[in-house]
Amino acid sequence: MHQFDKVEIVQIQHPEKSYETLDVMVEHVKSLLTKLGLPYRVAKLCGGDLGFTAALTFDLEVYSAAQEKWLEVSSISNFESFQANRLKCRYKDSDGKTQLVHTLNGSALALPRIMAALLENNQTAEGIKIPEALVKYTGFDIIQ
Amino acid sequence: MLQTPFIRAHKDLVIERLKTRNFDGTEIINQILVLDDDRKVTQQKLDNLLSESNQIAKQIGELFKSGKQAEAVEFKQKAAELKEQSASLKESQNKIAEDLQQLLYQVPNVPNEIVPPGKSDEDNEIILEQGLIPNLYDGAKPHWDLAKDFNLIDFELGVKITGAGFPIYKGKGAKLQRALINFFLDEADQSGYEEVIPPLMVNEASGFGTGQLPDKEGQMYYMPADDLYMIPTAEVPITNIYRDVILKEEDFPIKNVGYTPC
Repeated sequence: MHQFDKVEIVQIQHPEKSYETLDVMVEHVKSLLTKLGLPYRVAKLCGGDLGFTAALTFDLEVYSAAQEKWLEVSSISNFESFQANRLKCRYKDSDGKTQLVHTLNGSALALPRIMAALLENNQTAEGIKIPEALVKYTGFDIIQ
Repeated sequence: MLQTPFIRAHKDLVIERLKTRNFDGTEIINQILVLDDDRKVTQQKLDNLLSESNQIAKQIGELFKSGKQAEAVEFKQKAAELKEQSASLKESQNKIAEDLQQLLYQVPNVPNEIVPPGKSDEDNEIILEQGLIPNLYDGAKPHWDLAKDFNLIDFELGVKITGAGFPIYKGKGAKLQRALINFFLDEADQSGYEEVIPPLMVNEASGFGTGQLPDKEGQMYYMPADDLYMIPTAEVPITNIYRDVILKEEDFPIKNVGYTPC
């Protein structure tokens, strides 16, 4: 798709804590999917599927019940100092030495496939049920 | 971009790990290290020239003072020669630095040690599966049919207005989309992410900063009239907030969230 809506989370972190942060970011996205009631799985990307700038990436995929396949809805990566080196984004450590930071980001979440999975997984003979967590935002609990 | 001192200190490890992403780095890593050596040697020569020039400048002054005009003129000539040498060295030093940079741009990040080798998404490792897969009723349909039946997303109208891949969300479809955006932003806010609304177009420096340029040249929409790129993801403008910035240790972690159509 050429244009799609996405909410992105970004963290700039101390090099010693960036992998802990990567896990926290994955937990955040998992909690979103749980609140939306969508079945999901987490994949650790292999080297061949890893983006140019990433050192480690986890993909979150939701299950589309009508298409009977898993759809990627989020990619969460630790770039370590690879982006920071180009960005010249640094910090002063306790010895006053300048070091590169670590950068991380992930989609939380990409919308079109979430929409697709919500419509498909929540369809009933009466209509499409809206997950409870969203009702206060939509103002309706079913699409008929 | 990898750091040259890191490559030098961990040459074998870098080459080995790059293999997990099917990148044979042997040749380019060697080229990088050779250029880096050249850079150091040239720098040493430049430093030597500079100290020699300083020495001569001092001597010229002294010679003039003690009335040794002829010798002073001779030394002046030498100083001019040194200046020329130094200018040409500086030029080759700039060329080396640029070549080195171009090579470094071509080397992808070193995968973490837990990254499994593999060619495509089929080789990704599924580490967790959660949630119940629903049993749909007999009349269940794929989302494109549902979107049409309930008048939620109009793909054809998007084709008329713009082209394929630009759907129009309508009525409850638009509301559901907006609900999701707000839900995601609020959840991030509650997890301590500060919200930003970034520009949807960036300059070249930002594209280089997060690595979309030059590696993916041609994969971002480019607007020559203003020399700007349309962002492929919010990662680009948000991470670039911190370009050329020096943080304090107590600033960590910095957490931002942003919604963008991209």
